Amino acid sequence: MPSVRIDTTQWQKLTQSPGKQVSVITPLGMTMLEIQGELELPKDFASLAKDDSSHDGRFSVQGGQTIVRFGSLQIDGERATLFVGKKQRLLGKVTKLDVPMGVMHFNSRDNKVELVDIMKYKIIFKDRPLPIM
Amino acid sequence: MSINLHSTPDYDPSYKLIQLTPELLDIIQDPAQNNQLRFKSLDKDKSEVVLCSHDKTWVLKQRKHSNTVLLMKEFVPEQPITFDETQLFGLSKPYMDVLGFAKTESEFETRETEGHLNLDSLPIYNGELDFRERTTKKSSAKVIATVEELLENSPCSALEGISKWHKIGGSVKDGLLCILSQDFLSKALHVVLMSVMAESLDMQHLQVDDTYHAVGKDIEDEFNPYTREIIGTVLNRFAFQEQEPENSAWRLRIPFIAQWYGIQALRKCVSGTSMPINEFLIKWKSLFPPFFPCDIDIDMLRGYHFKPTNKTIQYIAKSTLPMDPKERFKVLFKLQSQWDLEDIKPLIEELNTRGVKIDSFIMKYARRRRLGKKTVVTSR
Repeated sequence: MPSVRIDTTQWQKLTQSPGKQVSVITPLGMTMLEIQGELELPKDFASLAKDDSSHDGRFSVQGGQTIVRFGSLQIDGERATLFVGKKQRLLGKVTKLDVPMGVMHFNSRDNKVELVDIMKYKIIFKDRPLPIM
Repeated sequence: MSINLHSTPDYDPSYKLIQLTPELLDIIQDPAQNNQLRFKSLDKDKSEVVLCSHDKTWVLKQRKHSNTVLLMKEFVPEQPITFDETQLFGLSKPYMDVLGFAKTESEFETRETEGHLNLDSLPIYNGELDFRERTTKKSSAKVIATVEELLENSPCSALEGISKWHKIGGSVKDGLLCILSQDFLSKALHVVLMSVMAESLDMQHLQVDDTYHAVGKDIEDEFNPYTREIIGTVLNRFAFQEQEPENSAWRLRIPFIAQWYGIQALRKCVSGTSMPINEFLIKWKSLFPPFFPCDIDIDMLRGYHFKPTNKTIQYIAKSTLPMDPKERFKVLFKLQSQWDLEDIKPLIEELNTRGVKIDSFIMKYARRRRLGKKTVVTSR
C-alpha cells in the first residue's frame, strides 16, 4: 500500500520561534494570491524575452529560467490593489482563511511529501478588473 | 510600498493545498507528534487517500475551483529589475519581488473519519493443526506476518488499528497474522476461564505468561492450539489492559464475557425458534464454566433478541435486517408488535446516519408513547 510520511522538519526548523503570523507574507516569504478568473500570461517567454527590445523590464532570468513580471501589488492594511500589465487594475482585500492551508510538496521521484509552509491569509480579488486611467 | 509580481512560464504541479484543522495544526506544531503524520491509500489510483496521525484518521476530499490561485514566494532578483516608472501608475517603488511558482486548481478538505483495517488477505484460524501449510498453499495473496505490516497496509492510524485488531480477535499463529473464528475464540475464552479458575489466578490482575502456563497444564501431551499469542488475543478481547509501572496486567471484563456467552446461547438455543425466558436463562447460565462468578440479565442481550410473546425470547441477527430504515422498522414490528424503547434502540441506531436525537429518529418511522415508567414503540 502506498504510504508516505510527511516531512515537517524543514518547516519546523525555519519557523521554530512561532511568532504569530500577522502579515499576508509568511515568515518563509510565501503568499497566496487568488483571482476570480483567469490570469493570462504570454505563452512563449523565451522568444518574447529576446524581442523585449523596448526594455520595459518584463522579462528577467532567475535560476536559469526566464520569468515574466506581470504586475504590481500594493497592500494597504486590509485593502489590496493589483495592477496587471499596463491596462487592468483589480481591487481586493487581504482575508484570513477560515481553515489554514498546508502547502505540501509531493516529490514523486523519491516518493516524499514535505510540508513547505502554512498559509493563514490570502489576497483575494473578487471583482471585475477596472481600467487604469 | 508596492510589490513586483512575477511568474514562471510553467507552474509546478507538485504543490497541493491541504486544509489544516486546528487539531492537525496542533499536531504539526508538536515535534513529538508531527513525525507520525502520513498519507495512506489502499492503491495508487482508485481508493481514497487518508491522512493519519498516531491516533486519528482524516479522509481527504478534493474540492476543485475555477479561480486562479497562485502560490508565490519572495526572491532576490539575480539582476536588478528596471522598468519605466510610469508603469507603476503612481504606486511607490517596489520593495520586494515575489514569484508565482505554482497554480492550484483544487484544495483538499480534511474530514475526520474512522480508520479501517485492511483485512482482505487475512486467513481465519479455527484451531487447525496444519494451519500454516494450508494457508500458504491455498492463498496466492501476500502473507502478512506482523501487526506493523498490517497497519502499514491499512487506511487507519496506529492506535485505532490496534484497538480494532483487538476487537476483532486478531492474532498470530505459526508466524501468520490471522483472525480467530468466533467458535475458536469462544473455545479459547472457555479454556482460559476454566484454567484461571482452576489455578485460582486473580481475574482482576492476569498476566499473559501466568494464564498461558495455567492453560498449558490442562492440555499436556496433546496438540495445544492455545499459544501465548492466542492467550494474548483472548485477554485483549475480553479484558482491559491496565498499565502499571513495571508490567501490564489484564482485568477481565466480566459483564462483557457474560454477554458474549449470552449471544452464543441465543445463537445455539433460540435461533429460528423461541423459548420461555426463564428456560433460556438456565441454558445461558449452563454455558459458563462451573462456578464462574457473574450475574446475568436478559437486558444484557439487547440488540440480539426479540420477544415473540411477553415471556418468550428469540435470536435476531442485526446483519440480516434491511438497511432501509422504513423496511427495518416494518420487519421489526412484524416480529414484535410493541417494543421497549431500550430494546429497539440498538437494532436501529446504526441507521441514524445523520446523528439526530434517537427519539426524533424513531418518531419519523414509528409511534412512541409512555406506559408508566417505560417508553414503548409501536408501528404507525
